[in-house]
Amino acid sequence: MIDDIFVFDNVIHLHDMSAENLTERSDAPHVRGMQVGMGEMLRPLHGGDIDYATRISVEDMYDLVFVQSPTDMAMAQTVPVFDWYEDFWAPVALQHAMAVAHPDRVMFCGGVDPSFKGLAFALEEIERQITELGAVSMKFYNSHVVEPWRCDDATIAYPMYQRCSDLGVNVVQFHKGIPFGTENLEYGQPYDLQAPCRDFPEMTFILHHLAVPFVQETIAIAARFPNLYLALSANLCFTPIAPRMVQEQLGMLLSRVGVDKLLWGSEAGLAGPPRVYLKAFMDLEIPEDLRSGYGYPQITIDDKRKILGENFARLMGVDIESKRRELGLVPT
Amino acid sequence: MIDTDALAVEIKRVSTRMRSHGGGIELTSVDQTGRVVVRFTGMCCGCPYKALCWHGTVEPMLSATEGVTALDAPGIRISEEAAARLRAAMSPADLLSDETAGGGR
Repeated sequence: MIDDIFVFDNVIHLHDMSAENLTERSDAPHVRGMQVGMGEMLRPLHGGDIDYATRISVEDMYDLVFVQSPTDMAMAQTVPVFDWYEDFWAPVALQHAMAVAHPDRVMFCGGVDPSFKGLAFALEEIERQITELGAVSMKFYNSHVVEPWRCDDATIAYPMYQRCSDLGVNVVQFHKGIPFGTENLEYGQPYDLQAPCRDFPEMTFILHHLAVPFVQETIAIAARFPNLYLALSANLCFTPIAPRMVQEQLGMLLSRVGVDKLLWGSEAGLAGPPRVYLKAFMDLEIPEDLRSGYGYPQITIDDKRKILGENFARLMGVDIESKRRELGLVPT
Repeated sequence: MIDTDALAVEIKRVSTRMRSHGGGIELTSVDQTGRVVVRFTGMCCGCPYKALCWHGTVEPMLSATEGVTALDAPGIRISEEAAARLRAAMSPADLLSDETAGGGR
């Protein structure tokens, strides 16, 4: 906790960027280099000695998130990016292992892709990951070098959402924007989440990263669909580096989307221990010139409480008071 | 205690005014303290000028309902500075002034 604020991290990834997990695509080392470079960019902020080009262990992740940082709960999210990684960038088994090792603190988010062994396999995997592995959410990455797909494709995407819903999983998540590697950028646009939000009103769709660089478009969409939430995964990691950019984004979000649909996501371990970003976020204010010039509201402690934990706890059915007692948490 | 029937009538009145914008408002929740939450509907729900509509039309009309102590809606938060400007620009005195009315005398 931070003071009495319950911190529920929407997204941590136990990635596997070891050489053994790279595919034979000629650009695989280059793509891995891009991701390692993102981690290295953030390293000076936390000073950790993480080797990014490896397989993050459950023990190392627990240390980063729960020992080094004031996190109370987290969701370990599969990253079914298969273009450059044989067993995905963040493998199913590794995320599941994290949840099994720490069931009181970690929830498991599965991940499938219809372009990886086909739609039938993806549907089978959804069923296996939910019924056998206990996935409480599913993560999708529709941008690929080969066979990208649209999130509003009624023949490919909708059967996956329906299968999730039929099995009781009504929170589905999407990487948008921020290309993973050399894939085209257009499939990272947020437009194709509008129809699913309309057609599956009982489900909640979480869009990650504000679909950078399509931030304005994302906000215009999230403002109109009550079942579209925004995970500020990686976005808030820029608070210590580019506070002005984060202030502008947050001001716009608070004003137009509303605080109740915003979620904290750390992106540990690529981002290192979340503590540095949490501290920067707690210190963050919307400055006078943005309040006056753009009409953005000041961010309040209640806003931070919602973003850091309350909103995601509500979505995932976690009773914070019960969880506090279970974990023996006391305000710091 | 809020008169929920009166609130429903007022919400309908507001929505009627907003119809030309292609949207309206609907009640989301009301609690025992008199806090009322509504949401914008139709074309209004994603409109970047929601805050203007809120401070200029929705809030003044709904706040007149007996028992309403607080009002809120997603996507209408603006800074105190901006709210003050809106209040000033939309005050009856200002709207009736010669300058605002284009009298230019």
